[in-house]
Amino acid sequence: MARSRSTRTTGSRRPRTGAPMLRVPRARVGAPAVRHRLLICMIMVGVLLLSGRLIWVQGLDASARAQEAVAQRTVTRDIPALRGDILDRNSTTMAHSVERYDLWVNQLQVDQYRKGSKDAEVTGIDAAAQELAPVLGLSVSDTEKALTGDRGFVYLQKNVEPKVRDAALALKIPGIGADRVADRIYPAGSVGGNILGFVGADGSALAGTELSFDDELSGTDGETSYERGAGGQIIPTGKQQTTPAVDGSDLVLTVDRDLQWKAQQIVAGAVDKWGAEGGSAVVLKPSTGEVLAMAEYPSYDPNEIKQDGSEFLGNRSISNVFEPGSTGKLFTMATALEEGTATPESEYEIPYEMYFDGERIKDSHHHPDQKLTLAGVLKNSSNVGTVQVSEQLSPEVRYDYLRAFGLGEPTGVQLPAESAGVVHPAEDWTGRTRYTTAFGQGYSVNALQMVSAVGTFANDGVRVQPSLISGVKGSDGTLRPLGQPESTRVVSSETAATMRALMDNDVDEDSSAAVTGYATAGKTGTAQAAEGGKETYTASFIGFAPADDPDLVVGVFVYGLDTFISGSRAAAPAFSELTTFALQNQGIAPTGVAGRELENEW
Amino acid sequence: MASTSAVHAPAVRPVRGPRTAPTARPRLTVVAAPKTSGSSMPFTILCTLIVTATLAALLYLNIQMSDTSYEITRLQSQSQRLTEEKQALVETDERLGTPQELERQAREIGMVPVTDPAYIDLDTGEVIGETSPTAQTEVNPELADVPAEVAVPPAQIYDQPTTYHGMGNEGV
Repeated sequence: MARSRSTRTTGSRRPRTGAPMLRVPRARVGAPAVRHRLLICMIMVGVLLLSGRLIWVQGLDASARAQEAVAQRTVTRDIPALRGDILDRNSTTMAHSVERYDLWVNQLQVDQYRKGSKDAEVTGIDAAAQELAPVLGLSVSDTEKALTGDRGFVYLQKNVEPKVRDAALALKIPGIGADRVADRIYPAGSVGGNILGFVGADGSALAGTELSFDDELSGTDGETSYERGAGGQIIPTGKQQTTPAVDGSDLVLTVDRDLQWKAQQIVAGAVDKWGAEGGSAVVLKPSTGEVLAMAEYPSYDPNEIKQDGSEFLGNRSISNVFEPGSTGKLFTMATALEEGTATPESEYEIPYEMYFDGERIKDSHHHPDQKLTLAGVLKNSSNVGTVQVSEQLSPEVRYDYLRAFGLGEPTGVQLPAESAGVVHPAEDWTGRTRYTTAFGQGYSVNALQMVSAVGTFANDGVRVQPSLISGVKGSDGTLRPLGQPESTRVVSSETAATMRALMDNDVDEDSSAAVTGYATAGKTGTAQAAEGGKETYTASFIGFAPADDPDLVVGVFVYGLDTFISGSRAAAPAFSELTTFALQNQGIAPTGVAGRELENEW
Repeated sequence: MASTSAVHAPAVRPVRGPRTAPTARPRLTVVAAPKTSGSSMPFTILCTLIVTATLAALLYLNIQMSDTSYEITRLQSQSQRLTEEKQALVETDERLGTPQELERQAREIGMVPVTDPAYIDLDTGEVIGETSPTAQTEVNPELADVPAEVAVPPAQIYDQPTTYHGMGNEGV
């Protein structure tokens, strides 16, 4: 600046001022330098002000203001992780997460509907209710009631399908909106409901497999944040950040949905026929321990859990412990065979009642003295005979075998609320217990334990721990098993074969348990249970088919019978029906081998 | 600023003083026309063009980006709509495939459960098991005939409002 000024003053005007000959009055010249300086100063002040403001905004106050602006246009949305599906053994969906909407209304705005329209006959809430009612499937008066009021937020309808939401929002009624929610649906309703369990309204697992395998099924929610324009579009140059949601894995059950359905139907028939409190049925593949069906009646629909506690929401198969009764005789026989104290031909003299160390043991029905073989003792289900067999064994040995058959320990199916039952140690088998344990009284079991234990004979003496879960399906579709089921050899292959023959001999071709076309093996059981001071009976039938080369073990249990109804009446017909269907369902052809008949008397 | 100081640089002046001193300075002389470097016009035009082109490119890019952004939003909502459509179809499929529904439909057309199936051994062509034309099988008398809706009721999610006859695309 200074330099330019000096240049100007030493410019072309200097010679003129120094010219003395001109007498012309000095022209009134302004002071350009002053004016110039003034102008410069003003510009300077202006520039200073602007730079000051610039420094203020950009430098000192920058981060706060920038943040404010970014916050204004940034939106953060949760990306909900989808809960994994639950599939049956054939990959049929049994539980599935879907998108639903909760419709809500701001009642204060609804009367603005069609206010501006000239040709509308009705306006406001009346018009809105008329239009909305058919969409929601409600009556006009109900809809009107829901829309009327002075509340800013009321749910109109929860869990509606996307098409209903679209139709509702398309009416453009002021004050109506929708929130996206995830809902869990169980397409087949109560089929397998007892195994699947259910989730609460907030999506948290509350029962069954949903609860036991919640870690695998539930994913991790993600989050996305982006800057958006007025129209909701993403500002491309803006900052975007996305943490993707990790969806839950699909869980594959060992259950076959069709078989599960049929089993539930059959159990319902048996329970209803005898006016029982409830019943369960288990179909098990003894070679792998896979539970193909675990049915309950009454059961529940996991889509619609009644809040009044009137429904039984568990699995009687694993939570209901009872004395097995006559089916327990199988273990005494197997122990005797394995220990070499008896053969199928061993001979016993059986009176109707007999005293052992002062304890009176009697058979269920009065009969004259009988001469029965071991096979006959089982076929006649004689308590006296079984105690005679067991008396050749020490209680300790019998206890060890009962435990080896898996009684008194959790089955390993990993469902909540399992009860392992109680098998008291042999030293506590005092007095009568020492004898009753031989024919399935004095210890308690659950249904699945019994089926799995009988499965030992069907699987050549090796007991495989039952399982309900095949594994977890990865995103690439491969199945990752959740651990290998434990298998234990309980009795030798020969003993298992003998047991199969004994059980085959037990079921005649014309018995209620027989399966047309297949040799069938099995054993009935009936036991008393004291339930809340009331004496009830539990009837059961456990068996397998084909008897010579068993592929399936089936158990039917009917609980809470008011009077004594034997397992052959209450449970065996259901066993026969269920086994017939299960063999078809699993594609197991008859072996063509006829049922075996052993010598029952001597 | 830089150019003015170069032309009027005071540093030139001391040289002029001593030079005029020895000889009388003529009042007027013919000076050669200053050698100009030609018009600055092309350069200015070039600069203007560059600036204009840059601005235009920038504008174009920005327009493209926001266009694409709108396109993304549109496609996302389309994808959302298609997802919902697919979900609805899957649900219908699942409902029709449930054992309860299959049984109901099978019975409606007069089918009954088979009680004595026969198998064919594919290797030998042998028929295993005996079968006969199925009569209308009566219910096992040992089991109660529990109505299907009681024994295994269908899922309670499908009792959708029947009065709704929309096509589901009203929101589009």
